[in-house]
Amino acid sequence: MSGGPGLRHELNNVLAKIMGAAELALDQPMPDAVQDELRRILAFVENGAEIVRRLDLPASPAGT
Amino acid sequence: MAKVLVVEDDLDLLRQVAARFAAAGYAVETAADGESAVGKLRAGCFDLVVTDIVMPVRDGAEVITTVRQRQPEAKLIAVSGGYRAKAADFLRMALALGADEALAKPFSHDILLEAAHRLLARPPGPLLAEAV
Repeated sequence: MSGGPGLRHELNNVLAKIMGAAELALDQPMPDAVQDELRRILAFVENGAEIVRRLDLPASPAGT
Repeated sequence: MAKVLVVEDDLDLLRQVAARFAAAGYAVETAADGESAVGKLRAGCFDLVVTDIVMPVRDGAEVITTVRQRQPEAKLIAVSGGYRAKAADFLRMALALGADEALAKPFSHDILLEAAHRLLARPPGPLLAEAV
């Protein structure tokens, strides 16, 4: 995949992986301070996802 | 134990989602592309299918169509991060093809599991697609 639309897809996948890794880590026992940092990571991912949603990339009907 | 098929071509995401479903008590099978998913759908029955839309070889639309043809009572959740079209466009298409729910990437595993629990608690029958 290449180009703007493909990059949007790839970026969403990267954000999803960061979110997933942080959530799986939160299932493990850990100090409160580490848990707080992981929750901040999740908030940052949400911020990133919102930025991607606002990207005004031209849409094509020929999706794959 | 409910049986779920997770279909995702990104192997990291596939591992994560499968691990979360397994930890929640589901029997999990995985497929890394639509071709493999269609083969598993022909070979066995699933209570729930979670499928990505944009995949090589056979995409999520073919997976959804296969589920609805072969296992019409299975619950179906589509996920997408978009590609040439916005993710919401793919997700609307997935609902139109017969998906019960659609989630845009990135999504919380908790949201996905909530959707799975809600759908599996619903009795079989005609479904109304939810708006994206």
